[in-house]
Amino acid sequence: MTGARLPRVVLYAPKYGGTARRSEEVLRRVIVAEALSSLSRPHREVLTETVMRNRSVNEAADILGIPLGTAKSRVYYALRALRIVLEERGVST
Amino acid sequence: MTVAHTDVGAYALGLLEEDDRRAFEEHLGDCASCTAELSGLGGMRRLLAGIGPVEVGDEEPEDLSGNITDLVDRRRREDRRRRRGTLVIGLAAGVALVAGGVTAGSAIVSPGGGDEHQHGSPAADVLAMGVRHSATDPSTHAVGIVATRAQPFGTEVGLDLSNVRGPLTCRLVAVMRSGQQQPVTEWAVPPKGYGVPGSPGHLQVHGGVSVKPSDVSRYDVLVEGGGRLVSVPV
Repeated sequence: MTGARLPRVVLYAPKYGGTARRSEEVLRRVIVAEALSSLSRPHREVLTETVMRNRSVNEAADILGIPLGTAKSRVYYALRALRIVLEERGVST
Repeated sequence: MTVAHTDVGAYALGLLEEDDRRAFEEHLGDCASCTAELSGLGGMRRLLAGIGPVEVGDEEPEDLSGNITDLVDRRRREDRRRRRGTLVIGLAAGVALVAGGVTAGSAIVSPGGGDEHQHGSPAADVLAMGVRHSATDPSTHAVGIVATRAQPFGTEVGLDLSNVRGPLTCRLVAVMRSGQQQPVTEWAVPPKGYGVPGSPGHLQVHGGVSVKPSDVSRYDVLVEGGGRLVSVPV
């Protein structure tokens, strides 16, 4: 662990400096959070209880008190709706 | 267990539990429309990565069926406009943002997107599309996300590593259920580190092993000279 060695394999090198990357990251979060808030409540809710809280769709279905199949299809339609909202705001996914 | 085409959404986000995931992967092998749909949803997973919970307001729920009908019309436009794998945010979208004293320019390319991705950053692809597992080591505090994808050659593996300072030389190994190990890839961590204050970018590396995803029990990030940064069970 002493001394830096030349990397033998480096497949990914950040292209931007820390500040630029951070501001892009903030921008992404702001835009996505804003787009999420424009979704219908069931759509926003299902994404919040799954991907935002690191839960499986099964766990989210229990929490929301809806059947698993409903939770799964809601995730699907929520994603589609979110993508459309994002595209309308100039974000292509 | 029943598999519906709409499961592709939960699958794309890595939200299916083991049995459902396997069932859907079987379905995916026979379903061209789900395969096509999945490739279009990969970008959404990247976009949603690290977004915290959104406060759910008190307004009345909208009628979902209305949304879906609306989607059909909008989808046509969307399909024409879609450029997969890239994320370009135009400030014409009406979002003005100043962050950390830096004013964003007229177009922003996302981290993990943009040129690196257009030219196919394989690590970002696997991390976005593969089956993801994550772990945080209780003693080193390193955070590892491993994503795997079955390939004809075996398993394609992507690693996202953060909360690590260097200098270190590391390697990722797959530990099989038999106890044998296979190397995935190696890299160096510069002194400033990855995913730490002052160096927020994560390390993303990519490699592969010759066995099926289900033959691997965990992926270990090992440090040259001894020690383990984090072990990610799969």
